[in-house]
Amino acid sequence: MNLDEELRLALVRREPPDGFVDRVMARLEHQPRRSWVQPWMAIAAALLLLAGVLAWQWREEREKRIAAEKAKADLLYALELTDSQLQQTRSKLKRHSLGGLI
Amino acid sequence: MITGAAASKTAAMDSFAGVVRRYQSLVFGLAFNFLHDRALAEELAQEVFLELHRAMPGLESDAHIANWLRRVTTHRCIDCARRIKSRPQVALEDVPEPASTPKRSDPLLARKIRSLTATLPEKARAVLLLRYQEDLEPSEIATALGMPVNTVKSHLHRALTTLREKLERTGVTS
Repeated sequence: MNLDEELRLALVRREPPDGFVDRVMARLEHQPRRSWVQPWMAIAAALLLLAGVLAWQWREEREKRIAAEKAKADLLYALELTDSQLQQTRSKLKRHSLGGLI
Repeated sequence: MITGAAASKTAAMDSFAGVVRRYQSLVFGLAFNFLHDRALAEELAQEVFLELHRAMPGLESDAHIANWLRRVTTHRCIDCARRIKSRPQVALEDVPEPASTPKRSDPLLARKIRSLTATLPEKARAVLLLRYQEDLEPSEIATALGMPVNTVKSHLHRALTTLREKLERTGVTS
């Protein structure tokens, strides 16, 4: 027995059952259309959107923080001003009182 | 009345149907000789052609298509066999065989050889089929399977030795 030859005779190409081409073409016709949007594109878009939202939120927080600090600074300034004016008034009153006594 | 786009699509589908017809025996043959299961072989063959349709724009020639089909079909067969552990679970004599046209010197011997081939390890089986069904040289088999040439030769040698021993044990002698 020539095994090489027997293998060539045994392991031949084979025709599939009748109608194979029709079945392939039918599956092709009914295949859902592949979207041109690849999965990685959808993920990238979602990440970009998330980054955008986070950046916007951070900016909003930062602006609020700046506004709050400005308001605080204004209040402190106003209080210092008031305190200074009160000091001046107190001093005037004191001088006035002392002036009356002498 | 068929629009230009519809006519173009029909022509493309007809062309692809021609490709399927041309290569169906290659693909189905590999699948059946590998898996020894007619239904599985057809399912696998259909999947390969669906994948081919997607890959067609990148394939430039008939030779390119044939090489692509051999490579993809073989890899799918190996994966399929590993998934189902397709060392045949049923008596191989009971597996109905699809029609094959070339004359055999001994149909029983041919059937026996196919049965024994189906029991080889997956990689060795793939090498054997690409060598004897597709008549590829070891270097071409190495490219198709992504393995070194010496590994191909080793698989081939061991597969032939195993087949020879098993055939002798079943009373088939040289």
